[in-house]
Amino acid sequence: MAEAIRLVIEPAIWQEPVRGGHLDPRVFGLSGLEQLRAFFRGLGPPPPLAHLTGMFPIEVDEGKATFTMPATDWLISPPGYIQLGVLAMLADAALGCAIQSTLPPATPYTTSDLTVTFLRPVVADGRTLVARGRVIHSGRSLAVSDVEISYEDDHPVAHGTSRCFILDPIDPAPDPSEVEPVQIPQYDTPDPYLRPVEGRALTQAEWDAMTGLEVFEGFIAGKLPPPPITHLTGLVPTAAAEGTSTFALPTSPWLTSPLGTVQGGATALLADTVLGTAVQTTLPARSTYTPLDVKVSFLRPVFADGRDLVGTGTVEHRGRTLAVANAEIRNADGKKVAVATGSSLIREGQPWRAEDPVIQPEAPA
Amino acid sequence: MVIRVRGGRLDEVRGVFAYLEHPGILALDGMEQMRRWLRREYPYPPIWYVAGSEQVESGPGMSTWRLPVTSWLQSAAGTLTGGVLAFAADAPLGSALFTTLPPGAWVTTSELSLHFLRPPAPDCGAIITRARLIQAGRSQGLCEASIEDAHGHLLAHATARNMVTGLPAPPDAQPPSKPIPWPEYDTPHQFERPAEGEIVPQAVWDRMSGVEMMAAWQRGELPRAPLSNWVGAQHFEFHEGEFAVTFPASPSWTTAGGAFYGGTTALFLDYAMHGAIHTTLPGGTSWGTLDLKVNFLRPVTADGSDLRATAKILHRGKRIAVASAELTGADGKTVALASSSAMLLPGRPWRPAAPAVPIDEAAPDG
Repeated sequence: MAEAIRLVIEPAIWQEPVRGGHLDPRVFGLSGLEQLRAFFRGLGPPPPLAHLTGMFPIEVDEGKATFTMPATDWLISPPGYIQLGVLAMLADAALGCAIQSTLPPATPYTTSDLTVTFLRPVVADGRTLVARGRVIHSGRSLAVSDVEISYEDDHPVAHGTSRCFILDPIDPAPDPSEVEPVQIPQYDTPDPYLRPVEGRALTQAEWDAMTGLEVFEGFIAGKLPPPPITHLTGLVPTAAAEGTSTFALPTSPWLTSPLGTVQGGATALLADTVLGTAVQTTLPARSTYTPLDVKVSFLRPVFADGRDLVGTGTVEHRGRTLAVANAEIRNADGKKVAVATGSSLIREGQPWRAEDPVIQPEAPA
Repeated sequence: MVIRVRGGRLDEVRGVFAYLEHPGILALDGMEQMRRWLRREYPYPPIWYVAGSEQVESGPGMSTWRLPVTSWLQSAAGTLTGGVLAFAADAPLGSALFTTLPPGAWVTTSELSLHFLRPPAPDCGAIITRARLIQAGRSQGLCEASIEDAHGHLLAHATARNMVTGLPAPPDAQPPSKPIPWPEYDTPHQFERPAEGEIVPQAVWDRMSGVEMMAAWQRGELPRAPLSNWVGAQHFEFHEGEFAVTFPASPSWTTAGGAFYGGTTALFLDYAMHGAIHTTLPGGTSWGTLDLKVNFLRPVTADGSDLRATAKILHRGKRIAVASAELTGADGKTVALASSSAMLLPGRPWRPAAPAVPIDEAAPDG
């Protein structure tokens, strides 16, 4: 296969030195709930994703974890919405931590499956998204949790479930007694999500002028402006044909979970992107699609070595109003790290939003 | 009602399509309809005579159903598969949304997703599904359910998205003013009769690989499982990592509106994925389904024509297998798609009396 021509994205937030960090490994000697509370007690720095997106836990209790994330313009995709895959990152944090809160000391866990279902479109209006995770079952080696995401106290916008494997306890368990509160580093510039946004969504006029595949090809050729989520994470399209879509996501340390590997939600973001855009390649001009659900099965851990995670989506079924696609995610060594399926609702002849344009481009500062 | 099904399992279909015979029922709101069904004021549809699944409680935004666990539901290993739990879950998940709908609205399953926590024991009595509405929009709603056995053990968690469509009562139709009499039958219904079929002994599972067992089934050297007889599995084909099987779209799987039941579609797809996983396994290996997701694309016409379920393996690790499946109608059109993952348990017998619990065996692929 020919080497894909890689778009140069400028500015590239994910290439900046990473902010935040991970917990002192000795903290894992605490129970799951105490590990989570360690963040509140200042025993560790906020994780990189907190600096990147503003996602942060606000409440943890046994069997429950609540995270918030501001719905900033940084999170939007070309249609002007916050896509389901971004909500998967928020969902994954709340789903995983709800399970973590039930675990005994020194017991690691890993996400095996993540399903997120769309309920209503999420616009970047600056409100706070709240994800409330709750454990459904926590057994000896497997646990299941669910999460509801809403705007503050408004209607839910998405629902998710996940299954985690509980691994064998670390032996010997680390001694957490000597862990001291850390100095939270200060940075000269605001965190990425607090800065003026870079990139923009497409206008309705741009969508109307091109088929779904032409839009895609416009992005690959650099003729269309990358959306903010691309500036933030490095998520870029690399190949498309009718019915298939390929994106790359650099495994930057910005996308790591507190466990140090790339967050499952970030892999789900890549999966959701290729599932949705594979459907997009089948659309005529002036048509829209809404991903309804995405299910990701994780097969191998993803390490943040900076190399690309490559996702390929393929449309399995294309009806008049419903499409179903499958996706494969591979690491830079070509190993399959996840498989995913998702369905999308298609609305031919409809604009993305009643108001036009979708998102006004930011005026240059 | 007697319908001859070509190559099918049943030659008699019992039950009544209450909505077709008494369309005035649709002039009631969803909650009132559910109340009247609960009081058995209307005769049940064909699927009840096959499975015995019925509503035990409903309220606004919630519905609980009970599926009696009969020997008919047992797989070749003597276990109850994830597909059986999907079969149990689809009706309550749709009903929880239906209780909130005004008159003239109908629900159709669009997506069904389950996580399995422990396999139900074959003698667990019943499967109880408690469904609750999460969110209802103008044209769709999302519900979740916990699935337990009769002893209160949590077996699975499910979510389903249902589409809401208009199905108004005819202008002159009135809801029945009094209960409608049920048809009477001289013999027990299918779920009340002894199951047909046999479980394959553990010694055979220990000795033969998946493909060897498949070949033996094709030659008629192994007994058909009760579940295979119950779902009406017909001709099947296999290669390592692939399995295809046909089922008649029997009218006995229809609901009170005459529609083919989505839970049966899920069961067919799960059946095929079980087959695909089995073809990859050496002897002495059991497995447990971890999750199942089904997208429903088109309605199935319950005319007895062949539905074909084709499954393939997407990933086969040491401990985890991921499969996908497609169900096509006699016209070649895809009616549903599914994916599922399973925990492989090398060296573990099925032990039907005390099945291996994947949740206590689980370890991710290294």
